[in-house]
Amino acid sequence: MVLIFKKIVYLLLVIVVNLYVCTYLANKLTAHMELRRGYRVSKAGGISLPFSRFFKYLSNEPGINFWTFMLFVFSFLIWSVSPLSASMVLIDMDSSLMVALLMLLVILTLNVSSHMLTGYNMIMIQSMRKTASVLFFMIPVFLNISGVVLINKTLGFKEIINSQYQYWNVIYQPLGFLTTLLSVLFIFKQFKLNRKSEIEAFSTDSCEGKGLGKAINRFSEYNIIFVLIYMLTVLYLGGYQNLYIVRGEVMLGLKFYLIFVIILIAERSIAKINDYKLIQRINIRYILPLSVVNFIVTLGFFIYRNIFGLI
Amino acid sequence: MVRLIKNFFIAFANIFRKPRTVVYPTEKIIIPEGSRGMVHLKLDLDSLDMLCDGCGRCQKACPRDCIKVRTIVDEMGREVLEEFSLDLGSCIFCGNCVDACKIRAIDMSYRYQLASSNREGLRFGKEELVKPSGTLRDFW
Repeated sequence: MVLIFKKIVYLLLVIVVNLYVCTYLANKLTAHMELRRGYRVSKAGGISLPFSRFFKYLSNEPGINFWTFMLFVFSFLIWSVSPLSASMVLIDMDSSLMVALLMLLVILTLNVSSHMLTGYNMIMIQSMRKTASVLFFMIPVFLNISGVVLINKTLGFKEIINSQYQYWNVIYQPLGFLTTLLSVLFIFKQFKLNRKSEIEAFSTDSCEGKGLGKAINRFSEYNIIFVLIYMLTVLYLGGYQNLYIVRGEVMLGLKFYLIFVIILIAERSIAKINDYKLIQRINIRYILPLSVVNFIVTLGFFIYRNIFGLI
Repeated sequence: MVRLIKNFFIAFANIFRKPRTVVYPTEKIIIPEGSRGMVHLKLDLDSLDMLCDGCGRCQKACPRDCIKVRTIVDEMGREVLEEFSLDLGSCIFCGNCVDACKIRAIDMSYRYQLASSNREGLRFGKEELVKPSGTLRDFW
């Protein structure tokens, strides 16, 4: 019991610290990329920025509805099946990848609930459109994950990580890695986690909601990105595999932040792509076909190896 | 595609470059040469009298009608400047008054910190306008 409690505390701590670091990085790095100094709420380089934003939300409206509470619960629950190290997992199960993906879908759909009660049709339409668009970008992610599952023949995170002890999956499936990274990048852009990014079709979406409910909404959006980056790290880059003397947890953190920074930089380099239809066209013309090709090649490889035994 | 990759590396390199913005009250930059600040009345360096003779060309040239010039006739029968007032609340810093002045008695100083909490604080008489802050380049 004490061990489980310790794990819960450790997990919560990791999530909160991660949220703090990523919010700070998103602010500071984006500012530096635009040759600005970024938000300075204090003299120490604005290190209290994430806190100030959080308290700003709290100062408005403390009440939340049931669905927002569920969103908060699921945002934490999704990490209970995701191993941060060989022993650091709350619920150890064989099909953890499947459960994580289902929870991701639950969070995505619950995200709309806060906007459904709005009195403004435009906000509701834009929110639905945003969720639909994000779900559309999840299709390549699911296809690529299916590819990894076919290669490793397992639905568990741990088994997938263990099977990469020799070579990471990115070597076998570079196309899958690239398309997943691009999908995460565009999902990141559509959530407007970086304050400077603006997609015209979702411009009024951020106006709705305030107070703690809004903070939870933002947290869940961050969480979706975190989980996707985590999956990218685990499925393609070896997860918490040790690298010589570097511990697995450290390696996982390093890979996670490396991908996060790459996404931040890439998001700024495509700052001009702020049209909703253009983003959808990019998905239809490039990302989706590439992921389909990747899946078909993997499927062919799987059939040749496991059914005909030719490879 | 090549452009996107180029943009990626530009954005990456910018992380290590010095930011171009400053934190305004604590950090100072030299304002660019030729910037237009508050109107300044020049002095004759020999006699330390105002160069302005109150001809009123600047008043006519002002599109916002924010300059008021009034002259009186002194004991010698000459027309001399009595009042020169500027309403900064209306001034758009266009510089037309400087161009209109034939004897170059007005120029634009580099004074930028002109905010005031009331309207009266934005009205300047010739005593304030003659202050020599505009002759050198000010700092923020």
